[in-house]
Amino acid sequence: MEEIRGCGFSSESFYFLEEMLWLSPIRGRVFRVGILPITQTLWGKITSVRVKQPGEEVAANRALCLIESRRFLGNIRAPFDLRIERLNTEAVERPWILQRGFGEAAWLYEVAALRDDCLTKLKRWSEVRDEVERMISEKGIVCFREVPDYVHAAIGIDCSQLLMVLSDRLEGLPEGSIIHIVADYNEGAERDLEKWSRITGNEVLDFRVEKKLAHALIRRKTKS
Amino acid sequence: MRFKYLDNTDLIRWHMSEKQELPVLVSTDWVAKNLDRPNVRIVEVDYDPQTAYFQGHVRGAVLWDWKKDINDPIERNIISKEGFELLCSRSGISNDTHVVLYGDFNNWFAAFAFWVARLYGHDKLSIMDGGRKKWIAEERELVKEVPNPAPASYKVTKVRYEYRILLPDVRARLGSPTVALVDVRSPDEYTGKILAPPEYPTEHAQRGGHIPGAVNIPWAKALNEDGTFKPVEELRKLYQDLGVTPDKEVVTYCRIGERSSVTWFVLKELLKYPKVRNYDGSWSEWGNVVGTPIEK
Repeated sequence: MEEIRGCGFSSESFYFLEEMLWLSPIRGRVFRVGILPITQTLWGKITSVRVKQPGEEVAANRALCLIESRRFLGNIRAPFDLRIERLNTEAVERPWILQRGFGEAAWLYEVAALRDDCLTKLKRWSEVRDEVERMISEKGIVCFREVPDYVHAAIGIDCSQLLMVLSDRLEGLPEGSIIHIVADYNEGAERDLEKWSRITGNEVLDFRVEKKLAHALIRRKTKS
Repeated sequence: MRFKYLDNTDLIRWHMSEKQELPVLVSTDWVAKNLDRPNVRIVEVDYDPQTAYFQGHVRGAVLWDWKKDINDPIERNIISKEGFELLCSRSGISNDTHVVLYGDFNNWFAAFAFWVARLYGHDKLSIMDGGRKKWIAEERELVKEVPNPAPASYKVTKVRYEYRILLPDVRARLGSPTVALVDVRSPDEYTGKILAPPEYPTEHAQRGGHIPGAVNIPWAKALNEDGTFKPVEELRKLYQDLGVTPDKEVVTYCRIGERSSVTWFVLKELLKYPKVRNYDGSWSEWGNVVGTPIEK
């Protein structure tokens, strides 16, 4: 397992980057298939996934599923001719779990390739690593273990005002929802945030600094 | 009865205005088969073209960006008459062109563009039922090539001001038994529990609630799960059961006037109510203006 800015990638898996898929071989020509966690940033949280059922055959380049998120609506296409063997119904009910960091990522399907040449379209981690790293850097991708419901960019806001902005933003969110805040990094920011968290009861799930920007993942408190 | 589009004569009568040859609703199937039909211009109307149109669109479709193209570039207002003429002209649309609109976000902005185009007197207009979402779900062709239509010459010859209503006129109608106000937002916005959906933090109003006397019929109630409109009989019942009847002057509103365009389309174009006006100032105006009465 390799981690780049919180996004996990297995060196044992195959990748089909065109469609944001990882495929992990189980036996023979059977693979577990899932969505890359970098879609957290690229698409936002997946809100629905329309799937095919076990037993259905899907030709290469035809839709494996239809994904809808805050910023994406599109078909994810099959890399090769395949048959759906199993469907992970939990991932249909809570599709955002597909986008969690790879280690604990949910799979969507188990699929059986219908032809021997199935691997020709797929790449190994070593073959896509540079491209993935470039994409992560260029698009400012950050992955979290929990998939945020909302993203709030507070860049350019003075740190003394930031916590006020944050409190205001959280006020408008449903209880228990998760927000990803991006702000300019100042020394002491993490300590201030922890203090604010203790006072307000909102939970800091993750805090990371990437390229002078602070990324915080915060869960809005629920009234108990 | 399900919509059968062009092969159902009853429905064609329902959906056709007197001055156009095509119904106001066309199916994705019809669009796929008529892409090259002369004198038809397909337009994708997006809230976010980067994640929609530029990722792939119906072949030959031109883009109307809701923010840049349908709205005035400076003040908060719909595009001016001259602006609409320029937009159509550069999109290769003349007064005689049949325009088919579709877009992202369940056709909200396509419906807004439909309303604006009707306001500026364009008769030959349709919406592609189900919009971008249905087109994609059906795995239909998407292309990235941006067409470059030959400019046309468009002239607005009439403006239907009666399709729009501004704040003072809404206010003047409060309490009138002959007026039905339809708030198409979510129940939480209607009751004032939230000021705007959490994904639109910049569209908060100072106050929450609804215009006194308004009934809450969320826009999505008019749609099937696949984004297509429900059958006419079902739609009629939905609105009439809550007192929104064709004998009244109906005012639709939401937060910024786009979701209410969908309901305006249903009432005016599908159900043929005679007097339907979209209050595009909507809650982002009403909930911010000093002294407007609010019900919770």
